[in-house]
Amino acid sequence: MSINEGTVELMESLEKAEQDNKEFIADIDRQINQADLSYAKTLVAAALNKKEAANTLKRKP
Amino acid sequence: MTNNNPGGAFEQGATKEAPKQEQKTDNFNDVLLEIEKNLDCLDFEADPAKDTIGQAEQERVGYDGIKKQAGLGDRFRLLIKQKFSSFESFQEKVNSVAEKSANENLNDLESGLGAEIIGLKEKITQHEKNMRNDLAAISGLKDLEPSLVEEMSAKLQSEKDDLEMNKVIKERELEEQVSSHPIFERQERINNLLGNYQEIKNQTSAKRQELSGNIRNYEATLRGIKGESDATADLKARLSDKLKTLKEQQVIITGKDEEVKSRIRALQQEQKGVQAFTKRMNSLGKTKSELLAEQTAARKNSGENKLEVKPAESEFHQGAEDVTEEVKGAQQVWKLHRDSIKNASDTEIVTDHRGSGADHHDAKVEGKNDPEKEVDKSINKKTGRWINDFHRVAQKIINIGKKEKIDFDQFFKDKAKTQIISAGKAMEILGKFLQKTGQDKNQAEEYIKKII
Repeated sequence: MSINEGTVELMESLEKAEQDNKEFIADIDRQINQADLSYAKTLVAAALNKKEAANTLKRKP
Repeated sequence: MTNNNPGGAFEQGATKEAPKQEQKTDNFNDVLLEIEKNLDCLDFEADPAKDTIGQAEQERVGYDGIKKQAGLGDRFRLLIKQKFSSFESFQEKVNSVAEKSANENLNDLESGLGAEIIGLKEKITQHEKNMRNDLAAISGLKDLEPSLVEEMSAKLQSEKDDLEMNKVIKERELEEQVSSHPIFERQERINNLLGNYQEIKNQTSAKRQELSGNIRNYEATLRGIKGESDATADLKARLSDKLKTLKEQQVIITGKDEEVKSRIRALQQEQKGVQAFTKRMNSLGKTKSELLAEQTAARKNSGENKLEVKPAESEFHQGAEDVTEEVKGAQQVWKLHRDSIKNASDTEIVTDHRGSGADHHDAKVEGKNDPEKEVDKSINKKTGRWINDFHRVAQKIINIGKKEKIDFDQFFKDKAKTQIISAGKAMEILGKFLQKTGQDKNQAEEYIKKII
């Protein structure tokens, strides 16, 4: 494999990894976002003892 | 918990740029209501991208502008930051409110039904003792007056049966209240959330490891590229830039991994508190001898024999790993209790915890962190008469309500599914309920007073 072939391959691999990571981070953000809101909702529900809060949680997809 | 960004670029920006807010927890209920209002509007179906706002946008429209136009998720986190400085401060405060609320409810049960059951059990024990004495006293009459002895036996047995029946009724009532307690719903939600975070953590940890290995490989490959030409140098510079981006992403992913782990730790801590609470709840209505029997069995199972006194702590915060320590402490407590009984006169035996349990105990035992005192806390402390009075009054109201075709009993059962009801709150609800049935509040109060 020539230097050029090697660098092209490495560049492609890095670009793919970068894109994969972007998607991964966005997906993790979404998951953490959902879990955080559920968590906060749980805490509020526990404090207020509101059934409505739990019902809202159930509407989560 | 770390300061890493848990939900998007916005919070990271807000951490840096938003003015530092003092913790304002004085009017906590208002804050909770505000949060609840925001949460009620949340759309869980929306595109997650709409819930995050970048640093540039934040700088453009300013802090207040963001507050108005940010996604609901961001607004929620922003509100937390404004009011509590951080998520963990908020969590700490809400937990303390939840703990207080749950413990108040448990105290009501403990000093109400729990104390009644303990009182009945002691009455039964005392009755059995009296029964034995009475029958022994008249045993000499057996040949002369057999019918008298039979009659006496039957009467004593009947009294005992009544006490037993009353105890069973109260125990069932307590069991029903315990099984429908909101703490179990909370426990279930905590378990579900732990599952969610655990799943995210598995992904971030795996990605972290994978990325770390890949970056090492890329670096080695980059180092292996030889050549002095301008073109090669340019290629290497571009590759280095890409690698740098990858490393920045590695930092973000590492941060998210740590953040999720901190959430898991916080939830596990809360879970331990709930476990300790349910453990205390399960001991409701149990006398010292019953608790001792259970604790002895637990000690035998664990193979632990050493006696040790554990200092008093908030039961809510005691974790599951404290069980063995509590068993050890209970052994010592029981020994002290037996010693104190030996020294006490027979007339000091408590037969009604509702009125005299705590006073009797306090008169006997003094001193901070006295282990017996600590155990009694979970059995017959806080036996305020008003709770028991309320219980009786409520029962009367329910009975009268039935005659008037108002099903208070069902009403309270339904209410109890969604909230913890303190005695005072129940009284308030009764007032409101009566209002709905056509009487105004004054009439309702008069009605309740009349029944009392």
